[in-house]
Amino acid sequence: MDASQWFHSGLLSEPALMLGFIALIGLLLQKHSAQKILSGTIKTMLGYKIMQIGANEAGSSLSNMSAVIQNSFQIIGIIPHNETITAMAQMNYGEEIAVIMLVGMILHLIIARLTPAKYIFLAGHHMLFMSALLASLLLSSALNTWQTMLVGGIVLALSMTAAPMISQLYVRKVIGGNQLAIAQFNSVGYLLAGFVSSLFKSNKQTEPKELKRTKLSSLFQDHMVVIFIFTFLLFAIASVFSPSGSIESMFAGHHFIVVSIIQATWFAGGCYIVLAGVRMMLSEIVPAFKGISDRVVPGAIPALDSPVLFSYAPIAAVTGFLLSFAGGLVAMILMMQLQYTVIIPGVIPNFFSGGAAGVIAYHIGGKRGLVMASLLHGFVLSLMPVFLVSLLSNLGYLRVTFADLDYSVIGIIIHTIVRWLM
Amino acid sequence: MKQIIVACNSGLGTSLMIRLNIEALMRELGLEIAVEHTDVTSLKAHNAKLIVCSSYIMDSIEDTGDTEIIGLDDIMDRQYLKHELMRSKLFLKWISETE
Repeated sequence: MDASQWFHSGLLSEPALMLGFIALIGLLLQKHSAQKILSGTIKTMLGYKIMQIGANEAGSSLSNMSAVIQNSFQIIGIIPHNETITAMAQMNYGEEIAVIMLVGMILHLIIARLTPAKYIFLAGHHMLFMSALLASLLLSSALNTWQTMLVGGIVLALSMTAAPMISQLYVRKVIGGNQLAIAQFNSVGYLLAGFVSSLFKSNKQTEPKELKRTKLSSLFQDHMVVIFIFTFLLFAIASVFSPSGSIESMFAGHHFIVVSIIQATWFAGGCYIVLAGVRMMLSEIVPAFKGISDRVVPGAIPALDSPVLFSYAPIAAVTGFLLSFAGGLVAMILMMQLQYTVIIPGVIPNFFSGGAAGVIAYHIGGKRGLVMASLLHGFVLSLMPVFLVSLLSNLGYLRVTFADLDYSVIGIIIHTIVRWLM
Repeated sequence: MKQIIVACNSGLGTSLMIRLNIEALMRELGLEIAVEHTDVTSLKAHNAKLIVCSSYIMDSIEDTGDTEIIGLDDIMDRQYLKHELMRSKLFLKWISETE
């Protein structure tokens, strides 16, 4: 077996190895100790496996939930949750996802080095989610594996530069400078929130008052508890509306409250494992990426996860989250009237995207801007994924999809371009 | 054990960035202190003595009495991070043990 064969049949065909290889290169480049290099490489591969295990568990519970929802409301309910859809997409397209991520990171560094767009996208989990979207999308449009890896890598690199750049139009005003940017694929949402909010700017030109740094209500901070409560309520409500006796016959005669508790722990448990896997997988790759970018991109602007904005206006973040979720419920009710496939607003995307959109809206347009922009943001955030679902049909009949707005927008744009070219 | 635990909501983004910043600072100061990042849900299992997080999640971290919690308003500023760490009794004790 020659080197290229070995490379192709061994390294590229197994994503865990591919990701371990990326971590290994990163650790070598940073000149870590042999022990650290070994443990970092192993943990990256381990993290990938853990994510797969979690995806199985979360998926089993999700299919139970969608059966109950379908049985009660005669609709297909789809939950937007990036971690779960990514973990499921990697079951089929793991190798493409890993290569797209590697190509994307390298091209992103080149863009930052050579152009004035100095943003370095440091939210590794969002890179992973976008790679998963691009792999699923491009392979559905009849591109072959190599084309998918190349086109996917280019699109990933461009979106990693574009997302912080677009959100920066308004984020700059919140943080009062260019010292950092936001790395979350919801830039279209932030643009929308900022623009809508600017329509409500009062003429008095009063600066938004410096809000006292109060802490966010702790109720929403523990995301596993939030996912449990949300899944429990969804199950319980769907069960109440189900034809009498059907829950008992589906779940071995158990009372629906018991079923809801078991299923909610199952789903939250699966999500927790996915999250732990993603964390372990990225905790070597992201530092290496940052280490390299520090050296090759002078004057880089670090783009960080959206909660970085929360401390600039914590109350606006909570308000933005709740109103965004309310807007999502309106979108869900509308979809229920119109069609069979319905997006059920997810708590986690509304927390991260809705919260940050709330902070932006409050800084641009005060309280009135915050209310109007958040409601509209939530409405669009929950509506858009419905257009994405059909584009990802070759993933199978999944009851979960990508959440934040850029995923839907980029998905639709890329799909249109590829269809037009082919 | 000299260990700092960094926490955020999902344990993916913010906490990792703070961890990298702390690790860089430890190298600068020549200190051998392990730094791990995690999510709010699993925080208790780490049995941490010194926790660093973004200030907006401070409320959700249970204060068990013998734990020091540092909430950062700015997660990227290393000088500010150093200033906040230097106010921690435990951290100062670790420094004095190293010298």
